[in-house]
Amino acid sequence: MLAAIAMTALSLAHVAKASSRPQTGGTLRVQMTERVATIDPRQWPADSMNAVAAQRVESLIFDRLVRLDEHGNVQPSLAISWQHDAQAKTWQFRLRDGVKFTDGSSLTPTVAALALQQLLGLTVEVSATPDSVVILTEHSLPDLPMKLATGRYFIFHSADHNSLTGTGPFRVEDWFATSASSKATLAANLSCWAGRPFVDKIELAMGVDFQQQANAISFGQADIVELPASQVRRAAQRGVLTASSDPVELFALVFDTSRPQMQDARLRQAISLGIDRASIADVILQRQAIVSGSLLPNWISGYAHLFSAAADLPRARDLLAASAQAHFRSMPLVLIYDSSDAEARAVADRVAVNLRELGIMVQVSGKNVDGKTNPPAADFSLVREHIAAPDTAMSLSEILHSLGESPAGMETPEQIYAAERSPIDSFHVIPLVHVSESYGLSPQVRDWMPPRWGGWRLEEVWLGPSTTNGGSAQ
Amino acid sequence: MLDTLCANPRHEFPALPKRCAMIFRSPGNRENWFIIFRGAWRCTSMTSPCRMKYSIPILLFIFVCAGIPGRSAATTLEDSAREFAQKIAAALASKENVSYEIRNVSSLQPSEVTRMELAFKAELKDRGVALASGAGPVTIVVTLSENFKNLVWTGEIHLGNAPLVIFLEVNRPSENHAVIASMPVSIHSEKFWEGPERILDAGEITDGTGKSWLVLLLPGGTRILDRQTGVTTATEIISNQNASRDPWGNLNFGKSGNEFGLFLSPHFCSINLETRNLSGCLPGDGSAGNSPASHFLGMIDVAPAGAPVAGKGTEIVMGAPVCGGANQFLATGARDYTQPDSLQLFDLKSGIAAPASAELNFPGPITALHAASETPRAVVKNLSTGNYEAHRLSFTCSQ
Repeated sequence: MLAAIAMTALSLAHVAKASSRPQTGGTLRVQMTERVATIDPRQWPADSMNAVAAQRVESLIFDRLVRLDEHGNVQPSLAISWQHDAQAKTWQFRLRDGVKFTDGSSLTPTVAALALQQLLGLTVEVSATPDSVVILTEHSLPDLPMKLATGRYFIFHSADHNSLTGTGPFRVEDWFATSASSKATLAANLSCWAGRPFVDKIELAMGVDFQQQANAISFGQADIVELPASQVRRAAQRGVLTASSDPVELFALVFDTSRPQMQDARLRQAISLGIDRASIADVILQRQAIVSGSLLPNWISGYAHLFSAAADLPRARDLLAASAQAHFRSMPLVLIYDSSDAEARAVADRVAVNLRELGIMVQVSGKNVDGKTNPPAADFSLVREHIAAPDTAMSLSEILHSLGESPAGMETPEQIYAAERSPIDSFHVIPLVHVSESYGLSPQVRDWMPPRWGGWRLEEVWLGPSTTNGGSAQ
Repeated sequence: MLDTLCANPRHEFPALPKRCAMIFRSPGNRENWFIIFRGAWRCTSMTSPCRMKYSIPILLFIFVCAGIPGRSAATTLEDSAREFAQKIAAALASKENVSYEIRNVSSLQPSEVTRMELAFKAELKDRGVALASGAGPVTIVVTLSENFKNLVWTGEIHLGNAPLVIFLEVNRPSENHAVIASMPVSIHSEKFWEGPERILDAGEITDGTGKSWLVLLLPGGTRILDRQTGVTTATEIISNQNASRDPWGNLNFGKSGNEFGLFLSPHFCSINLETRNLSGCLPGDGSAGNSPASHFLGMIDVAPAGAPVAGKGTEIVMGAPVCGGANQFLATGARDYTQPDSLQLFDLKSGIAAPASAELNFPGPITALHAASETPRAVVKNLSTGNYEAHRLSFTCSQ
């Protein structure tokens, strides 16, 4: 009798699930601008935008010991628990049992320790116990789990030196790379410890420019494409479903104060006061950005209101009049931007227009990331930094390091604020805007639920029947 | 002991400050903590003792933890306001003729700001701060802001040139869910649990003698909070839902005293609330078991016969029809998990489904709906907070 009830329930209970349920199957076609050269966490890009791309692709193949949930809190992944000593110098991560790499080998503490040792470097000592990975650090690392939940800290297995496998939701089925583009086919890892992904395959095209991506999504040749901020509204008008993250990319000016003409803080302050950030956010970036006077967006820090981003032309002119430097009226300052980034070009041009209105001559010059062009020496640069993690201290630390600053202790909110304040108050860095990350989605894409700090969760995406095009999603 | 180290402690079990270790920042102010890790429940061996384990020890780790110095340990807005006032008062060089203004750029409602201000002002006075009626030599600008995790309050103390800034991070107050009433039947929802973990079902049980428990069903087992003692007990159940990206299962609160049943594929189980142990499990493959069958009868959620209603998603027959209805079912919306959802009651007469209620909107997708029992329940993922919410559904009839 009981068995009969059980069998009846089994046959009927599937309907107890609510809403539209995910379906398995299909091939997800994804395009991206950046080109990930290799699937190897050991060869991590230095540039923050390239690193973000690498992180997205590699997170499909590999898992980390821990992961971030949508609240930005660290949660178990390959490690099911962790503890540390009083000084937060010795950390023990207990591994999940029964996890296998896609080559069939088992995840063991030894394998995980070997992978992490290569990624964490020689300043830490990583060892294995029968059920755990132990990390010993010279200095206190209270944020180690947060660090291990982001960036390059994937657990991989190296059967031979060139071939890495992971435990993630997909495995590499095919990888084709040229100097200009890369294509990859990723197949679902059906025995993934966290459950098989919903789609059977991902066809990933890398190094595809924005225009090609826009065409692909419009003509039904892709399911997920990247959209530059300036294209989001246009794409939506064409009927493409668009989705944007919270603002996660910072555009900022960074001064080379070793240049004689940039040593006068009054000139740098005048430049800060002379830029119309609102026009950059609203016109150039089509309202897919927010004006910012801080390095971190408010949704991460909560205190961005303490930084002013307002233009003040009269004050800027007063400062220029008092500046010891006057050559900028005759000899242009050189502003460098990444020539591969069309949005950066537009923002740099706008900055130059603003400064010319102040009487500051500016020469805008693109810098090719591959070093093929030789731009003039820069007086200041337009940089684009991606938020590394949904964590105030870690994000700020990464940005400051990337900008050449050396932040001191950042343990209390007051210290974090002071660390952010310092380069801004000294006008070494001028934040301009924070930009959202945007995507175009085909009508078949369901459950596109990336974290609010951007990125993918393609293992959660499934393909449904086409629905009416158009609109936007957050 | 610090009590606010987890990001979203509200509506959490008091004995379960989950995974606090990862958000500690400072080696200072260390205190001992008892922490239960969800991942530790997992039983990985498929040996018989493991598969049929009635309960597993709750893993308790004594951590030497460090707090976040800026995070408020207060539990209410008023407590936080007083704590903030204390920090500001301590930072004031002069406590005479101090003026203040409060700016709200957060999601706090005007009434909440008023509550905060009253407590803040009173505490300043208690700390000997003489508030000026107009602009004073010392001005405090309090800004009530927020980031994606918490409320962030800043106090800029203006005295001279650069302001001194005081910070306090405050956990958000809980929200009240709106109720919509119209048509012959009105659906009401009452949120009785909220948390960051995906739950498959939830319910509250009372035994008639004043004892009550909150039961959560998760992909890896159950979590039971004893309302009297505040003790939470986790029970692991080996389930194939642990390795599913769309897990499901349901609870059944039967009639036999302090026991309840659950289905977590592939097991039907019953759990004793007094001991918090598995009383028995029956594999879903039809092999013999020793669980009382009565626990499983009321947990079968079924779809109504006939074609689905256009624009609706999941449809579940009401186990206990309301307001004189005979064949009724609840229907969710048809969108995916990125969209807010709604519930609507339908009457099925002669094969035709007619709306019996207005749509009751929820702030996110309904990830589970259970209507077979007398107390229908919905699990909703709130898209604003990212938390899962357990809602108890009730119905009132129009006169």
